[in-house]
Amino acid sequence: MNKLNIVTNGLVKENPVLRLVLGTCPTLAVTTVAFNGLGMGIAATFVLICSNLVISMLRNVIPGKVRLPAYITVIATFVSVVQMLVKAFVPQLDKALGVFLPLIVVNCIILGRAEMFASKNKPLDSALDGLGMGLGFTLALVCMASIREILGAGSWFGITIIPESIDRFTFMTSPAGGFFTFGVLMALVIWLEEKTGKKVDRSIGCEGCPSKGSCGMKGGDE
Amino acid sequence: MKHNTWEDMIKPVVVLVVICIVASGALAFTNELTAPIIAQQEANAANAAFLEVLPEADGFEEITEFETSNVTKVLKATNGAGWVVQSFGKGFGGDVPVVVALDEEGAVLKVKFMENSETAGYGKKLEDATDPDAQALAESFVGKSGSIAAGDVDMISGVTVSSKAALSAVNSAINAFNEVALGQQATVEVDTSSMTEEEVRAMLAPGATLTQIDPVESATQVWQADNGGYVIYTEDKGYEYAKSPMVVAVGFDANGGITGVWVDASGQTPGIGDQAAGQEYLDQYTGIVGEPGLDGVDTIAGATQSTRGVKKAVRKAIRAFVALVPDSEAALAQEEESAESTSTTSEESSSSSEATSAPTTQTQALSQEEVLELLAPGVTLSQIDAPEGLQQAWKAEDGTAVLFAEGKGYEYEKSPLVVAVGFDASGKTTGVWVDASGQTAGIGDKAAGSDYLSQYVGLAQEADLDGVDTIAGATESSRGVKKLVRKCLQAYAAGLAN
Amino acid sequence: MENRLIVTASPHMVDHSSTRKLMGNVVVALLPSVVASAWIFGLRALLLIGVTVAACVGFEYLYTRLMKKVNPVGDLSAVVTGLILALNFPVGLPLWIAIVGAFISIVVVKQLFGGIGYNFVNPALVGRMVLFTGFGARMTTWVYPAAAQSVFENLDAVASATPLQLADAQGNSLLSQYPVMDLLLGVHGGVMGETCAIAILLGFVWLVATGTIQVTIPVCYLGSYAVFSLVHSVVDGMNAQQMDFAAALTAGGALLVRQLLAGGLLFGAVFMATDYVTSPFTMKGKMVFGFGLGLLTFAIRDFANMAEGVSYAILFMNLLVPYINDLTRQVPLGAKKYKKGAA
Repeated sequence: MNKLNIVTNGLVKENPVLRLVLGTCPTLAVTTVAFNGLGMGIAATFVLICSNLVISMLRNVIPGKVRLPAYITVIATFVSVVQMLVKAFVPQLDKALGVFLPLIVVNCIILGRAEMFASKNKPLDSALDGLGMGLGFTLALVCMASIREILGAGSWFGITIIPESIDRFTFMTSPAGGFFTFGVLMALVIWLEEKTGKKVDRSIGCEGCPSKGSCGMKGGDE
Repeated sequence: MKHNTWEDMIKPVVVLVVICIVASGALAFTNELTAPIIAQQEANAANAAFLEVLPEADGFEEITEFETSNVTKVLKATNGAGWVVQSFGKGFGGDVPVVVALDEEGAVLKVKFMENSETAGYGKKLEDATDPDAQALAESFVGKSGSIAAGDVDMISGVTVSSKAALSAVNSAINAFNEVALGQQATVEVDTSSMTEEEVRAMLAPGATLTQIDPVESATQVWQADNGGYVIYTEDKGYEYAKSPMVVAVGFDANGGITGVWVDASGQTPGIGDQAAGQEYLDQYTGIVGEPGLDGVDTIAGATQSTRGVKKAVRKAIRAFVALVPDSEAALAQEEESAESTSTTSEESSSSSEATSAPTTQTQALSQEEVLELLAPGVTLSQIDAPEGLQQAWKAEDGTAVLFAEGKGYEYEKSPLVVAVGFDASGKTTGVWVDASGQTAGIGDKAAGSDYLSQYVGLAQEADLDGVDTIAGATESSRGVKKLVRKCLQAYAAGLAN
Repeated sequence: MENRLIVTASPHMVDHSSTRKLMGNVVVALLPSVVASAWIFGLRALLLIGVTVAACVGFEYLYTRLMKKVNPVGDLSAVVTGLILALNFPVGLPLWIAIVGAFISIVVVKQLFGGIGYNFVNPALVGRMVLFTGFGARMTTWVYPAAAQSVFENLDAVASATPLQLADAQGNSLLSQYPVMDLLLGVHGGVMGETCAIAILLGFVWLVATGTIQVTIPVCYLGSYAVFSLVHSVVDGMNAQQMDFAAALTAGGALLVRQLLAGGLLFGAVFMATDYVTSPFTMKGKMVFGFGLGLLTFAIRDFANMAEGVSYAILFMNLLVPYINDLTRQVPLGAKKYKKGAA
């Protein structure tokens, strides 16, 4: 696939959060406020690009048996670097994200893309894939966080949008509201797919999984 | 074969090791770069609070040698702009920390409330810099020095415990200043809960040898000191559901002045009732001579029953002292005070609430003579024809009067409210007595409570009633009382004022 | 598509009930509560109820039209949902919030899952709870009943706690001293439908008389709650307050009467727990359901930090209904009971 396609792939068609359903934990936890969603997205994107790049460069060196420990070490290094940088230069983001910043290490998106894409493709392609996936992640986070913040707290990125006199629907900032928004967004994406004619036949199991082509599991293409 | 061994065993290990070494190197490098920045930021955040209260300072020098209790940090501005002290007071849910800036003489420049765990909407307001009540309280400290009293500052109404904690914190800060800057003696809080009995007595009767004698009145133990003083133990239940009564020890000097009070409030509700054993509360008793002195002692809101219990126990101790030393100053003070509404045996008097000089006690158990005595003390009253709408009217020669009225309080009450209003010679109300036994227990009988009734003292005319509130949640009963008082005022103005 | 010829297996019994008739009975049963709330809380109650019902019906009509489904509005189920939802509001609730609640109940809980018969929890209940989480302050501002106007002079609307929330300075509940007449008549703060016990009881009688509900669930619910609560009061009275058994029992009994009448217990037991779709089929299942409800309500009211436990109890048991149905399945006549793993 050409370079641009790799990037746009991660934005909607294979959006890691809404279509691949990866990385849902930080998605639900961090999207109460738009600023947090954006910050988390950018941090994760940085880690994605770097780790995809490095893993792709090492793909012929790392033996198959130890690929998971190797990947995790690389990813963890980058996450620690990001954490230190955030602590030093944007401390309010560090406070806001709390424990979810170091938890990027186990974010399924990063490990998933390392396994599915970076280990099989050239460095430049992998980096672009990381960029695309990261941007898709950030996009999904910002969308969800905006909806939850506007309805639940009446503000967007801290700026009050809904006048103070109208009650805030604090349900949206609660976990229940988060799940609800998540579901609505997923439904929206699928509806968009139908509308643009790109509907994928959905079935349970490997057949219906968007990652079918690159998954190494039994039943996948490999 | 060798090829396989390399592939299977050695290469993976080597690869992993190399990756880890490179990773560590990268991390160490980043750490070097960012660690100083992070450390600086954390210091800045801490300093931010200090600089906020004392912006003129360009740096601080920390003094670590100090003994004052409840103080966390003492900082002296390096350029002589003043001092900053971080201290705390015991609040409702924990400590209420403050940062206080003082000038070189010890006067408060600024007070900042830090994060606390008080109740949201009440004490938690303190940490919100934009809250007007918190701002008012903080600003009321500015310029004060020495030991600040609650009356000198704008305590937040309804947030007594947290406000008092903040006050105590600021006072601790001033104490620390006194100790470090001025070289005075440190004010160290004594933990009275862990003292043995001997230590308690030694604290209450310093420097004297005590011998135990037979208890009198309702005291449980009496110890006589060789310098004429006494340490008297009494008990009171305090909180009605307390598992065990509170033990109170009161120290007296030869005149009957209280040297100190020690309380074992371990049976009271932890966190609430055991404030009755707190130093701050008990300090109010020191120096009081005789029962009338007790009138100035507050109860602690939210721990009413426990602190009222302490007060009752202290009263019992004073009575015991008076019985032991009938010619002491305390005993004389007792006799002078004629506005007593208690009966003679100490058992009964301790079960009714305290008598105060403004006779507004909730004493349903009073007989009519006692009510008359309460509202028009020391005066001979004779009954006259009651004006229309009133049950009884009593008048004295000097113009004092007591009027009784009856009426409906709570809609489903068992028996009507009976109200008696006392008038002095000038026509102002001396007080109100209420029989609210027919109202809902725990709700309507608040209308007979001294806090509520104290609003009715000193009224000169019906119009003055407008300032009187009703009690939320006991609206019907308290409104009933107000209506009856109004009736009495109207009747007095119409017929009896002359 | 109308089915004129219906072929089923014997026995052939004809019953003239339909969803519309059943729902109609429920509407009639709810009318006393509507009238009571208007009398106690003033005419705004009627406005609020009217708006909510209209919103529910409106949303159902719009949704089914948008999704090109058959218009179900005629079966009156949306009206019932609207009434129950509205009676769960405090009278001062802003109208737009009520409309949001109607949207959630009808569109999200009922229609999105497949319409009537397919919802897995009581729609009105979820609507109320979402509003409670989302607009907490508005949903818990109780206004002192307007019926008190004639009794007192110069009465303003005073915010007062509900009887369940009434507590003294130490936090002890004062429910035991609340006059029973007040609780029966409903002249106290609370949501519109739950205060007047007499209106609810009238509705209950109508529902049972017309055969719309069986008494099993309300009886088991209130019965098990009563037993748990009484035992707890007696044990508490004897231990903490050192009363002897007889005294503890009388005190417990007096408190029990008030506990049964206060809060949303009666309303929930009669109208919300008995919803067909979200309660078990069989008699045994209903009994288990009622028992579970009583236990949960008791636990939440007495041990959790909330005054009101009925909504959460009903919601929780609704979720368990499929399992209860599974376990209490009736065995057809002559058949052997299905054993797991049997050949």
